[in-house]
Amino acid sequence: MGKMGKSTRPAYRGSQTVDPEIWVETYADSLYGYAYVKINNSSLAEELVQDTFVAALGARKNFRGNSSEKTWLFSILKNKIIDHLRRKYRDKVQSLDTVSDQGLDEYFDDRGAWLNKPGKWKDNPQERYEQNEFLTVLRDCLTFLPSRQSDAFQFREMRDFDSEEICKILGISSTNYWVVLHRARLAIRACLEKNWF
Amino acid sequence: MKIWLFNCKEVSHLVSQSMDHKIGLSKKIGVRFHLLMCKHCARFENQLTLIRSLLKKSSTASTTPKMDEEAKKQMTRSLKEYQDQEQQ
Repeated sequence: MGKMGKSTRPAYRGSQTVDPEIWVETYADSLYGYAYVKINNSSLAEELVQDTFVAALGARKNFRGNSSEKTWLFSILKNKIIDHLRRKYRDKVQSLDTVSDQGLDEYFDDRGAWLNKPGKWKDNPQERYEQNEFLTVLRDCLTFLPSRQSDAFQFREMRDFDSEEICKILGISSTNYWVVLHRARLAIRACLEKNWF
Repeated sequence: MKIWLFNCKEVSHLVSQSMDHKIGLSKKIGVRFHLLMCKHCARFENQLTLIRSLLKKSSTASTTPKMDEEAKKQMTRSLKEYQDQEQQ
C-alpha cells in the first residue's frame, strides 16, 4: 500500500488510510455504550472497543462500503462481544446440567392444565420507587434459578441479545433455548407473584 | 395439529416463544382462541409483557455511559502506533 500519501482526512469508502483520532471521536462513545449494556463492565467494554478498532484497521481493505462505516464497526463489535461471552460461558455451562429441562411437572398436570394458576397482579408499578423494588425482587428471583436459565433470561430481557446470539453464547440449540427460556419465565413469574404482586 | 384443542401447557410455551419469534399463523390463531377463554393463560401473557416492559423502562432510564476521555486518548495513541507499525 505504498502509493497513497499520509492523509489526515477520515478515510471513507475506497481509500485506505484512516485517522484513528477521528474514528475514536466519531464512534468510540456509541460503540462503548453498546458494549457496556451487553457486558456491564467498563474496562472490558473499553477493551472490546479497542479490539474492534484494531480489527477494523487490519481489515479495512475488505471494507467495500456496502454498508456504512458505522454499521461495519458495529458488526465487528457484536462478534467480539459474542466471542467473549461464548468463551466465558463455555466452561461454566459444560460443567452444569445437560439440558434436563424436559418435564414441566411442577407447573402443569398431565392434562396440561396449570397446577398453580397465574393470579391477578395488583396494579402495575407506576412510581419510580415501586419499579425499583420490583427490580430488586426480580434480581432475587433470578438467583434461585439454575444458572443457565438465569443467564438466558438476563441476556434476552436485560441485555437485549436476540435468540440466535444467545444460542451461540450458551452453546445450545434453538430447541433447547426455547425450553430454557420458557422455564426461566415460568419460574420468574411464579417467584414474582409470590414475593411482589 | 388440533389448534382448537391447545391446553395451557402448550399455550404458555407458545406465548413464551412468540415473545422472541414469530410463530405460525395457525398456532397464533389457536393461542388467541385459547386466551379468549382462559384467563390464567391470558394473565401469563400479560405478566410476561409487563416484566419485559418494566425491564426495558429501567434500562432506558439510565443514561448510556460514555467512554472515559483519558481512555479515548490512550486508545487513539495505541491505534496510531498500530497503524504506523503496520505501514512500515
